[in-house]
Amino acid sequence: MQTLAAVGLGWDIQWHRWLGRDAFLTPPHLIIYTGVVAAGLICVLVVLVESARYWRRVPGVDQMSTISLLRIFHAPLGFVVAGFGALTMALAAPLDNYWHQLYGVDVTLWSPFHMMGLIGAGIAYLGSAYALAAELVRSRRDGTAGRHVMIFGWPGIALGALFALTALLRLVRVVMEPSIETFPTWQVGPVELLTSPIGLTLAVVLTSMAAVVMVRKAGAATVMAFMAALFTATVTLLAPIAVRIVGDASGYTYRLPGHPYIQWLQVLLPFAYVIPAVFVDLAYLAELRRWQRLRASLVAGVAGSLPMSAIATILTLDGISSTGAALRMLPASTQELPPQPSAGAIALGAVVALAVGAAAGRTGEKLGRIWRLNIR
Amino acid sequence: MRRWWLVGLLACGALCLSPITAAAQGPVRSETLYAGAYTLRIDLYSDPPFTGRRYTFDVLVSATTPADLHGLTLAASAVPETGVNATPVRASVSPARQAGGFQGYVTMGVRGGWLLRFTVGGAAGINTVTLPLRVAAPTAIPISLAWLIGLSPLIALTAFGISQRSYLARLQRAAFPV
Repeated sequence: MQTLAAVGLGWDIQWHRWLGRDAFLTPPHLIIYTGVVAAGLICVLVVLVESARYWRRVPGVDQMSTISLLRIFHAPLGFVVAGFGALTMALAAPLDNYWHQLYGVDVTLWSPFHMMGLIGAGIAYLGSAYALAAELVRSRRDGTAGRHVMIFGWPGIALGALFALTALLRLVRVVMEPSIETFPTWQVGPVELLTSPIGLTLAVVLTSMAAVVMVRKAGAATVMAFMAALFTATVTLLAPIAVRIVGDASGYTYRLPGHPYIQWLQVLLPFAYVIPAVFVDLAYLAELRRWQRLRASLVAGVAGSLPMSAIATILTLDGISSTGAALRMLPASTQELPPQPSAGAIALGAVVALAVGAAAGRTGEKLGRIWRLNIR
Repeated sequence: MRRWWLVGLLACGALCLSPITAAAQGPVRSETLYAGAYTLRIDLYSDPPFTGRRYTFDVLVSATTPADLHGLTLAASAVPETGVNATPVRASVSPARQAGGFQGYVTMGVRGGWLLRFTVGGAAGINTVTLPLRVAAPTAIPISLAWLIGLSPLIALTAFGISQRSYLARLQRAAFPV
């Protein structure tokens, strides 16, 4: 259901770009909120069923496998977290609609209630990662991992857990879109720094480290990043086609000249994020043989942040110009072009990204250890 | 206790009936526009229109000769004025019982200046006229308060993150007892 919402989000971004936002219940919004509501209801159902099983003392449902909620409900941690995320997203929806009514259809993604919805999505994705990782631990302990489904030598449940992790990576990529296009720099007092390397490094390194530690198999981070890229590329490929089909059938007027078309660069771009994941994989495995966990996670974090910083900087420098081309086609009411970031801002952004990469490596390693051990 | 249920039920009933009574009370504003050989009397049922709410209108098209009303069609749309960050919205228009009469509605999503554009077609040709509207929105909350609400889930996320540090220690103690 969360994947359905992610598909809706990909379609919605293209819908905004080509058609605007003429109503709240547009087809992509319907898909997003169907996914959100269904995910929320599933979480509520799981909490209720597991609570009933807990109080009836069903074997296997106890304090070791569930967490207590208000001392009444007992449910797996992942479903509680995911349910909270879905609730946050549902609360953000009417508030976001209100914000659009006040400030228009082209409100930036970095608006208060977009952020509320995206944070909710992040919490929901974190919850599903917890749930699937716990399932992976259970199946590893009882020896069923890979017994039923094996894909290219990987147990199905391990790939499922890695796919849940891709959602976090994909989400942060979406959240950081404005840093590539409209807000390339942050001004902190007299200091200016490039934003995209920081956010993207945090996302890629954190999820890559968590993946490699959770699965403890060579290539886990790479597989995770590749699945994220494949999913994003597929949605990016199909979304303009879907907008065109619905737009033509419903007689909409397009905001940009011509019809929606596939942008191949945007389709292929997500695969660039596999490169830093490969670096994290290699660095962690190499370092782990020689050093202890702390150093391995820091080195891997820095190793992942180097290519990610370079990629994010190139994307930002290119993104400004492509947004400029798009903005010139739109009516004069839209925002002005951002200035080109200075060399100092790029350099400072890269330095901060390295530090963030090291910290994300450490945090990702801890998160991965939790997911390696947690059965709740 | 039973009385509260009754009050609630009455309130719901009043809420449901309010649009009906509003329509039954008749238009709050009427405008006459001239589109070539046609005269359009437009009855509006709320003033100002509000964002996100259905804005209902009736249109009565008249002409100098009855023959001009033959095969009469009417299309309407709401077009944002320059400076309003919105996209045009098509109105839903259907013929009314009265000859030359139409009823329709449109929902405008953003506050500010809009033009309600009518395109009337018939034996006397096709003409377009516009009616300017100022769409109102609910009161804006301060941006700082909006950010406070928007980022409030981060508090829960941070608290969860902190709790996970001790949770990891417990998991490791359980997995690798000393």
